[in-house]
Amino acid sequence: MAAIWKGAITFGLVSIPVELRTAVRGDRISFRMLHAEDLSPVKYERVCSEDGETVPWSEVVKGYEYAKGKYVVLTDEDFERAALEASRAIDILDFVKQDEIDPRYFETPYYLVPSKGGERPYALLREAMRRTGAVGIGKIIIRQKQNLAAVKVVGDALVLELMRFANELVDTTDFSFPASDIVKPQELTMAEQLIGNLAEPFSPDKYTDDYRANLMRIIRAKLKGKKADLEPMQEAEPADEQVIDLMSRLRESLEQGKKHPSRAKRARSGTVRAPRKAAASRERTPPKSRRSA
Amino acid sequence: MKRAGMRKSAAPRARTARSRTSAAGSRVVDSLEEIERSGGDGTVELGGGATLTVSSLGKVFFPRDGFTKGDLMRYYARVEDAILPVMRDRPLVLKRYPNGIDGQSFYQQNAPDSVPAGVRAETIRNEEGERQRRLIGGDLLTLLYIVQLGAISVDPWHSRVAQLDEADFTILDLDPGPKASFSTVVEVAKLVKDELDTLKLTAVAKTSGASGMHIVVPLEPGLSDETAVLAAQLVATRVVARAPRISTIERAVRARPSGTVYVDYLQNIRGKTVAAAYAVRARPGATVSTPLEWSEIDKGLDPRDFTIESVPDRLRRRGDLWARAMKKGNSIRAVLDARATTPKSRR
Repeated sequence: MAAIWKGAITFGLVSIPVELRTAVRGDRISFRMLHAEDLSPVKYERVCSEDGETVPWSEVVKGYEYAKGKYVVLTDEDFERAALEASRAIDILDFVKQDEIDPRYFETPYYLVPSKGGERPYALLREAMRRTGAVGIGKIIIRQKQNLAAVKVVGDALVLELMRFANELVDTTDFSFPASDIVKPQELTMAEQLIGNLAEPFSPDKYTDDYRANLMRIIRAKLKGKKADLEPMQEAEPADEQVIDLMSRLRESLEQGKKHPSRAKRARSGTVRAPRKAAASRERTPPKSRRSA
Repeated sequence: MKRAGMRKSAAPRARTARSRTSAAGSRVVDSLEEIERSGGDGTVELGGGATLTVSSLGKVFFPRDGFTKGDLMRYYARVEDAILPVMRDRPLVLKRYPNGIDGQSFYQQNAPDSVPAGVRAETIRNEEGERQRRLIGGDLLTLLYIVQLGAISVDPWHSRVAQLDEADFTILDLDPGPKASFSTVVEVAKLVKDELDTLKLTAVAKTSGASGMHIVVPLEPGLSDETAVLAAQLVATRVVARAPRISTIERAVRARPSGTVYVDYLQNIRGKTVAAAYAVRARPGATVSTPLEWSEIDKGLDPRDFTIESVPDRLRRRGDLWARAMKKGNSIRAVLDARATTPKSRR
């Protein structure tokens, strides 16, 4: 993979020559749009919305819509004037702690690969950052656009993560989120149990893009001239452990319910509940905390 | 979806349906029509001297279909024999749409400070022992009052005022993800039925009135809502283990595999509710959460077929499937005992 950017990490008097390589693979299946009749690829044409005529590139300009249907035209010259001086450096301004950065700020990761001769200072910076748990925050200009970036240690690599500027994040106060005081303690205990049941170390390999897999199966089957069978019902016995665990918890919940005499009697008899009028005089049973404890 | 025969005025169709309604309900339908003809404000006679003041019956609640507040009240009067027992003695959660289904809406749990005579409101204690005033279902006057407030969706609790900590049934809420079609919901519902059969549990399925289905397992008396959750979780877990491609119990919406139906067993946590059987939903078409026969749950089932126009007639023809299914509660102990004696008997 070609370098996206070549330059140097600089801070203080140090300068480490590096290249930026992509760390994310676009894994989307791409499709060509075809004319259904003869399967020839269709193409886009730029058409004037006024007269329907094709517009050549030479007649295309860029406009900023400042009000509905009203434009200010910007020329190449205007864009050049706005462009920043193409600095070839990642200027590290501050070192911060990794967990101080809200993950919402991170956008796209790139690998920083040392250029020839940069290996030693690269390793030095990496180890120093590793020991101090520091993340460098700086700015980098890529294709004339200034970006906020974080430099961090991942294994043997320094990773540059493009970041969002603070004004790009939608503030949480734009929405209303429920306060925590509406949560009932019993429900919380129950919800916590449910979370506990599903607690696992994070292993990203486990999660796959099923839509992509389905599409590839259909494509491969079509190449072979068959219709893909996408939903073979798994007739295997349901996840046994989970089921057994649930059965025992269910048994427990029944046992706990039994401690209440009137409830136990009714539960055992297995008959339909007496009409409400008869039941209405019965005292309300105590709060459930007893059972869910 | 284009619908033939969109109507602006409710009156003509209302007449044809009247013959299929109970005598008392029919009187109320007459009374409502009378009020509508004379401007939309007036007093409904509910028989036995009970009356309720209503207003703006001509207000359109369902803009696409033209159904009004009056249409909604007439529907409930027509199906009162079926829907009132579903709500009887249960605290109700209202979702109010003062400007129709396309306008803003909000949930209302508490009863208004003062309610008209004959409306049932009771003070209950929640789990923290706080006193809360709630509307309690079971009579037509209260239900019509709820519609008068602009509430379209009405959800009853799973427990009744006399035993708020006992669940009367447990629900599996089949909620299709954005890329799952209703035919996938049907497939998952069949799998749920299969697992319920294996566990020897009886149940009734109903359309949610929106995009999913509810499968409701009646419980014998004396079971806690905790047991209700676990019983539903057991069924859901078995279903998902069998068909992970089309079903999921993943709670985080974003982590659910694309195209799956969420088999939600957590609607049984106390205080959670789902729409009542025969209740109208705030959806285009004025769809109704409608109990089904298991044989109907197959290709071609379309939840949009069940509306405030079609359901009264369907009730007449098919009978009250909900009441029939709720007659006898299931024993959960029997499930455990059956499993203990014949492990893996299905294979």
